[in-house]
Amino acid sequence: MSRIAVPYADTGARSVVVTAAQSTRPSLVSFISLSSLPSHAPQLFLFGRIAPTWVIVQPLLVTLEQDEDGYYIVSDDEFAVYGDGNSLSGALEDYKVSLIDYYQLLAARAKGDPPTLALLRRLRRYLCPTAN
Amino acid sequence: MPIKPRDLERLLQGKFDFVPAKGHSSDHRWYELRLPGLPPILTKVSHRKTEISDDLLGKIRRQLRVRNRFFREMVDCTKEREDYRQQVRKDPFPPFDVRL
Repeated sequence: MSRIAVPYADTGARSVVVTAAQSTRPSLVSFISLSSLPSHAPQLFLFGRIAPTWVIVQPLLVTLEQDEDGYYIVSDDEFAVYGDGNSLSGALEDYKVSLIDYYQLLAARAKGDPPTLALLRRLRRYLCPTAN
Repeated sequence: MPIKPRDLERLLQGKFDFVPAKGHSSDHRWYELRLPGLPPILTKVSHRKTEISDDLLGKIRRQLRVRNRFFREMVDCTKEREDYRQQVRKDPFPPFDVRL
């Protein structure tokens, strides 16, 4: 199994907490090594600035997986958004772009549509646009 | 349940009435279906050239709000447009989880 390390800064988040499903003590780490974690999918919280004008204001739990083709997938259960790529950092980057896409798609459709507005409000508890 | 991204896009558009939804990033292909009284069903199709893995199909299935068996039947073309609409209205999975 290849060892994949994602530098702390590579995630773009202010802090990264890695938890394993059977671990009761999340720990702050500077890198993630899939090979050193249990076989079940590791999870981490994204928090902080993820793009120049976008901030995650409440920790958002995402799951990291590697599929049978060797691609990496980062996804959340909260909004069913995913990102993928041929590296873990690439998949994380794709996830962040997808989450912002998702926000903008909802925002463009929320006016006068209560169900969409309700979903957008829930997303805003996690993700907010900011001024530069 | 192997399927290529292009075939999945054709299936969503041709059979289930999804339409392209333009996101802010040009390299993502989003599709949406609007049903009255529900938030939009938004799904992103990965731009891989190879077949979509089962793991990734699982993520897309969640965006489409259906269980695995139902999604397989959608891909196998044994579910019709109305079956899907009824399923999403009656028992979206995962639920939209929004308070109106």
